[in-house]
Amino acid sequence: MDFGILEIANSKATAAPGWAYVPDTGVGVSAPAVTALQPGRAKRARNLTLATAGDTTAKQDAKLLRGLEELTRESHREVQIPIAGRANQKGTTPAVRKILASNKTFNNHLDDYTSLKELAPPPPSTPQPIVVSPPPVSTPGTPLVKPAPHLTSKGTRSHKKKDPSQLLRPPPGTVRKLPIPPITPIAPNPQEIKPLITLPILPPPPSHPGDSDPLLQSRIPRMPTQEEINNLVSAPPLSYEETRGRLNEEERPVRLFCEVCGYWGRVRCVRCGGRVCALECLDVHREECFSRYGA
Amino acid sequence: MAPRKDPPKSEPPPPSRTLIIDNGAHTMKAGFASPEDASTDSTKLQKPSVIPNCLARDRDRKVYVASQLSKCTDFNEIVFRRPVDKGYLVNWEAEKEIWDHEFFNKNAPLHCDPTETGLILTEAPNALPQLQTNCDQMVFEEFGFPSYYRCAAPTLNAYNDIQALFPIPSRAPLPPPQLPAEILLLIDSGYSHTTITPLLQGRPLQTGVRRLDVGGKLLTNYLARIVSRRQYDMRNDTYLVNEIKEACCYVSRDFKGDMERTWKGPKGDRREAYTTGGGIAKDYVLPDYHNRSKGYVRDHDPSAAGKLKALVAGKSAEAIEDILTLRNERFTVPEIIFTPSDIGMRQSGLGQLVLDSLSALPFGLWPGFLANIVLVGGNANIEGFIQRLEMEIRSLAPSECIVRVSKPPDPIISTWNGGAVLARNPDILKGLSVTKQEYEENGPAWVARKFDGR
Repeated sequence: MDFGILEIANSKATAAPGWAYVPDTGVGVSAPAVTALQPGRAKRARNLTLATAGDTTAKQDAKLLRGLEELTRESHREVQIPIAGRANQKGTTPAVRKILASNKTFNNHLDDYTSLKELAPPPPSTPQPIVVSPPPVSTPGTPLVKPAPHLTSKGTRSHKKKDPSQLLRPPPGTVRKLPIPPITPIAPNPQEIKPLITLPILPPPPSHPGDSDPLLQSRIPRMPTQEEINNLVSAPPLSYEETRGRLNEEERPVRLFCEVCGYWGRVRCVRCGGRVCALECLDVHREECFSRYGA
Repeated sequence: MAPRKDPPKSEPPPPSRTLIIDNGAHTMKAGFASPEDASTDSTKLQKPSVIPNCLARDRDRKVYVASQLSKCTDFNEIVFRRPVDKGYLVNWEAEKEIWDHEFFNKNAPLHCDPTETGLILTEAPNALPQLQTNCDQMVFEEFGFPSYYRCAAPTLNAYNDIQALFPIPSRAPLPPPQLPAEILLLIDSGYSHTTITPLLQGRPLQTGVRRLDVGGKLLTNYLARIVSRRQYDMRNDTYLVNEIKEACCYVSRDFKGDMERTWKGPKGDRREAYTTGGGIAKDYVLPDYHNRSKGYVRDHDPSAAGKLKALVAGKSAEAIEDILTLRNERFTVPEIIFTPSDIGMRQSGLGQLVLDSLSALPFGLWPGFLANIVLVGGNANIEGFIQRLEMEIRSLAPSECIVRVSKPPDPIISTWNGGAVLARNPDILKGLSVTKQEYEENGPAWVARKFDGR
């Protein structure tokens, strides 16, 4: 037993030359030293990724983490399937050649992205306006500026008068003949988000004497204003990490299942802390738990 | 204001055909659509080809590329290489090989000349900018498509006729659907993950996008794990386990009740429902790849357990079936989508995540989103999924709101169908896509911003 104390060669002169206390940071998903020496640190680390009943040991958590990581893998074993005709896969431009030759995984790209993001405070998803101003077609990047069509139009094409069904579904045959103004963005740009409730699509139902009854009245929440909707629609995408669903803290307690048969895990193995449902499954579990070295 | 550019006189007419690729991690859905299709009867429209998006290698080290996989007869210990990792197109080396094989080679099943075809390509929401740029560069520089629209896959669903999915008491014939749908909460439960995307007139509300890291792959791997622990070691037979999952799994509407019904009972006191199957237990007859290349499912037969005895009694080995009996495995596996904490994942279930997504949006939009929830993706085919999802959301949502959850008839190709509708409306598509000329003039960063909608 070394109690977490390692002797290392150290050039620094200290009161006790020759050895130093080294924090054990070997807590990781893939690291072999998952049975960490500092449980406090491990607890903090694992609580970000695991949902447990709170009575698990660091060793169990490490096992759980490893299990989760295994579940996201493509196959049980590591496989390499090379491409047969690799030689004729050169690519035409340098950029393409670089992309084709890249062997990065998604996690590599994600790490790149997060470290880049930390380096540059403004997130890369909101790019700076580029110097060369793009053609007006492309200016949906400036959400608060009125789009070009409004500047050129005679003011007869305001938002409110637009009938969405007419705008998007012109009578067939007419649209091709009209000279399409070159810069009219037909795409639903931020500015083009039409008022949501435009006109009653269906005729309202016949009135009923109970309509004015205060008990039967329905309350409809206030619709967001057009400006709010425009802001929502033009919001930049969240990052990969931000969209990850989180655990609602008020949620039901974590359910535990028998590791052998899948029924409720009501009994805990005193040796490893694993859950089983009853004595019968505990016997099966013990066979494995007690006979396997290091389990 | 920048000086307005004259429309380039040499602008080529938009390509007459559009190739739509819904590039999923497990299968890609690909096919052509053109504006001329719009005049034909919409019921006779062609369906996309569903192509495995992978390179596969079987036990004999023979490599299959994408659709060649249908020629494979022995799926024992087959392994896959997939260019799409965690839902995002990462490995272009493999993807190019697959696309070449499917679209660009001389005798490709869906042959086309990329320089004369438009492209609509989907990606998972919230892709990394670097991956998006890679994608744009490949499309224009390597393949040379003249016009191209890259979008998050959920958005294309807004071009389907959403209201037709919800049965309502009809008072009057509905007007033709508006394109894109006004308001829609789209849940896409695919191979890598499950995403929730609120869509307003076909545009995603980015602050409300949420992702649950549970997808078909995780469910398959989990089923493989518990089956390996309890019956046969199938960890190397992911393909087979996936088929078992698709055939047997269902989402329980009464988890506790189903759990009791599949319990074996205490020692020495076997429950009757356990021995007879209790209506839940199923037998999956495993393929042996000699006489039977595909497994099938049937009701649990308690007497089949004596097959070893039959073998001893001298029955021929060919009449013997390998049977996998699935009990609580049938519903505890898809349950992870609704309770990820069952396997220790620190995420809320899908129902709660829908509410999380809505909580990022103004309250005034809630009724609209809650009444128009559409579920697409392969997992939507799991029996009982929409009923359970509706139950979960119903119990969490404000009681005044109407909650409607529905799925298209074929949830796997729904995204592609939406893309096909878009391709048949050249006026909408033209405003969304980027031409090769624009790419060459403005560069990849501009293209990325355009597709971001900013």
